Amino acid sequence: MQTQGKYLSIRSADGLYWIGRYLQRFEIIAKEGIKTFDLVIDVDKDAGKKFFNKLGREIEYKDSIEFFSKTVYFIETSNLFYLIDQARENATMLRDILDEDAFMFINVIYTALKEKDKKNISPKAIEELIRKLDSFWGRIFLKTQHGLVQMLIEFGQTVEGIDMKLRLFGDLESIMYDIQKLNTIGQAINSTFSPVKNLEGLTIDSVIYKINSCVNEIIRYES
Amino acid sequence: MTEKNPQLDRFFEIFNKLDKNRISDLKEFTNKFGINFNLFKDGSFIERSFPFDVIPRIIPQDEFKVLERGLQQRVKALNLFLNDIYSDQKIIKDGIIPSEFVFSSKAYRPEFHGVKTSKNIRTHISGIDLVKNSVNNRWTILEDNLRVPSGASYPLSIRQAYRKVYPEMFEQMNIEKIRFYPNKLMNMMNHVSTGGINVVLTPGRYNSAFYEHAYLAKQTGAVLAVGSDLEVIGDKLYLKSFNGSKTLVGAMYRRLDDDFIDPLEFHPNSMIGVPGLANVYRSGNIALINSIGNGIADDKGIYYFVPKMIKYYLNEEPIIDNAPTYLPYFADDMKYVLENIEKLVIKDVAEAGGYGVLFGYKMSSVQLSDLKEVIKREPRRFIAQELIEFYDVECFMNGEIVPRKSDLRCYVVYGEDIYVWTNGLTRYALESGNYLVNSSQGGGFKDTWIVE
Repeated sequence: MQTQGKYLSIRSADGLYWIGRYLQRFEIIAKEGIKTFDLVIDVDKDAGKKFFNKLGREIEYKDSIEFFSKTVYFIETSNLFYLIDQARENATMLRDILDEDAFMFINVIYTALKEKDKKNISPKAIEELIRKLDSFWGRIFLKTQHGLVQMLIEFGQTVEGIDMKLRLFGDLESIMYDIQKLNTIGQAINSTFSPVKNLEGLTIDSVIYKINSCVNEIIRYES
Repeated sequence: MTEKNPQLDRFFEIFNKLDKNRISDLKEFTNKFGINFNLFKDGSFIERSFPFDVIPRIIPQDEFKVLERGLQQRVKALNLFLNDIYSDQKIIKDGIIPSEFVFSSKAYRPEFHGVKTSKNIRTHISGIDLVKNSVNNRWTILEDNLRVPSGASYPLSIRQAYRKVYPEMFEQMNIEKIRFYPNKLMNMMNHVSTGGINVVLTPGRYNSAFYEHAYLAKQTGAVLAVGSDLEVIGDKLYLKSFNGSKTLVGAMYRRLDDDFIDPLEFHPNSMIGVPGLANVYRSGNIALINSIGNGIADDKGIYYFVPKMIKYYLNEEPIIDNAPTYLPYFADDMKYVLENIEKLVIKDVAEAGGYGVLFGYKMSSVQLSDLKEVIKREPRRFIAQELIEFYDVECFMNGEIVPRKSDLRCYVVYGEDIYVWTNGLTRYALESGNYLVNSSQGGGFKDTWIVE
């Protein structure tokens, strides 16, 4: 029997990478969105605008509930529902290589968001979904056999984590551990992967560009 | 009229003692795991769970043994027919089948005449649709599906959940195990492979049966691929791997019709096929599962001749009946069809999936008269069948048990041997009195238990 994930097409590898990215982005926007929701209530009415400005998005809202509703359903290509939908699309295409329960967790989060009242979504409901996402990560990373499938998802997750940290916090120091992790996974997937280094002196935008380009050393899109 | 047997009585004896809320556990399983058979309705893609009924269809083991022999016999004959049609065409030369029935069929691919297949197998996976006639109590074959029959993954998936939700059933009844199917499929692919990896070719995410494509790839260890994942180099097929390497493909379980598998050979606008694949097949460098041109053997017009094929190739009497069928192509049959059209079922041979099926009793006199004219004009295009009264199955709907029309698709895998899977896809109509049970017409499915 062929080992699952031993022969990965470009499309499959790309899909796994993007599952990692979309889910990581979902998690960060969900967690930061909940924190920001709390600020919007009575600390800083504009906290939501500042948060999405960092991600290059504009948002208008009249109160914390509307801010949160837009975070979950309406902010262009960064809302949680869009992100989980994209992750699920990739996961659906990769059901042959993805762990069944891992697919199930993504599907359950998607279905839960699809069925909720879009105007009155509560942070509590999203916290519940973050716990489901924890179960997904657990399912992926706690497998005894850590193969290509897991590594590509983790690679995407790590790239997205770095990207989001840089956009939201703009602090190079905070990503050093993640860079190490990225290099380790990159080399495990492809021994010719050139480690990311010498970031000192680069602008945040240049670092983001560099990190996002790493995938081209892992997946040979041109072949 | 529903069929009764002691095994079904035993099922209800156990079922009635159990908490009915367990049914929702099964429904939850299909939703959570996205066990979908999607539909296209009014031009829109609808992702939906495949409706499932908790009451299994139960077939006594001794009855299934007869089916098993009959299906092996039928598939063996159909495979011989295909090998013959694409080589010597003896069955035509010997006058068993009129040549027009072969050569006028769109499913016949003369451009593949003379192409040999690995191990001489062409009908690797057959889906044979049957009903049980409630008048003579015999199983009857309605049609053969030898191109890309779908459906096997659904009972496989639901059985997994069923065993968890209703373990009592499996402890207390002697139900045939079904888990061997993926293994048989994998062994068959390995058997016919020309060397290289196994691939399941899917049209993609928006195909109705995409769930099945992914499921069967996973279960058999084959790589699930779309056309753009593959590349023909010279006269061989390769998977384009993410790291830049190319991996040779030796067997392809393709889940798309001939028309779409190679834009250079068939439909030039097909975006889902692999350019050059047909030539790889011609060169004998890949086993295509099922083979190109199989449609000629499951053409509704050819169906009429299958019992004759069995006698011709195997010198045996058919074990399972065909439905009484008339070919307007023959003068006597034309006369009968025109005189009795209101009580017949008329099928357009070019259609599948429940489309192009007309029930005479449902049509107005104007419609019948128009249909007669079309039949007279294009006799080869239609077959007519007696409306078979077949048993209903019992379904649990909205808290009560109701009868519904259903059929059974049996799966036969032709590898080192001819294996009839001890399960099948029981499809049922969601509405009372509806005879169309096809999944693409919105029907549901049941698990099928072969019980001692």
